[in-house]
Amino acid sequence: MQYFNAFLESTNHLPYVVSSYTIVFFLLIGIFTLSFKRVKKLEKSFNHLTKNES
Amino acid sequence: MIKFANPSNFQKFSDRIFPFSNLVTVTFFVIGLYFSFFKSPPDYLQGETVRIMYIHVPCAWLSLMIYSIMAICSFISIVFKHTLADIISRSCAPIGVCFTLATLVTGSIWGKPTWGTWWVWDARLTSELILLFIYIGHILISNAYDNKKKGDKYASILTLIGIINLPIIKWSVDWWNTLHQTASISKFSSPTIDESMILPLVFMSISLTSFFISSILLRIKGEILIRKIEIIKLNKII
Repeated sequence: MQYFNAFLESTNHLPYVVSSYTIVFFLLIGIFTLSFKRVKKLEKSFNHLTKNES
Repeated sequence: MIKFANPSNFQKFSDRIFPFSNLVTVTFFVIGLYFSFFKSPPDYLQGETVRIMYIHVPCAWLSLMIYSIMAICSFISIVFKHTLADIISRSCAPIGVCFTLATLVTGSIWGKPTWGTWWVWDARLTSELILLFIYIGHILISNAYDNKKKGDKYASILTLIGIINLPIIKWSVDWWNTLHQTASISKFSSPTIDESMILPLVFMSISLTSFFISSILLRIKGEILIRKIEIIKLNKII
């Protein structure tokens, strides 16, 4: 807890660290969400096509 | 291993692995964050900005690892003409872009308070930027042709040519005088950083590697579905 409190008090460095973690977090969540949505859309389209075939 | 070279078998296998890799990602990310902010002391020279290392270094490692996987797949694709190798290579590239971009952005943010500048045309930074361009080039080339096979072939050639950039990235800090520091963790010698700083690095690396596994499985599933849909549409036309 002592290290975390010291980190919160370091106003000079805090924005750099927080922005780094935030950017990486959103970048990775972004690619994952896009991939997930794409797969769901493809699955829907595949199921639709196979249903029509049968 | 040969069993998984079949796209349908691979898909069944990946469906079983996917929830587990997601669980590992979240668990180790939380543990990694805890160790990064609560258990790791500030650096005597860099102060609190050293915490950027716990996210920057795993992203950099992964940007190189993903490219190595792509290079192996490109080789397999060119020599054995295996479809799954093309699928893996295609699926790796966008994730590689994300990790390389994350490396460059976090490195730049780390550079400002440490070096006093956001960017320098230093050998390590420039070679990492070239890696980003190669990843983008791979995506553009593989999607540039109506014939997927042709796109995959040219993208594989680009990846194999671009592999020359990997040793440059790795050893640029040793070969040239750079602002970027030399490696603190090496396979051949004991690490030069304290254990309290290695632990968060290890946890974050496990989390991000597991995230890569989840994402790649998801994207491979998407690529397999695209190919299956194309075959069904083609059969309908015929």
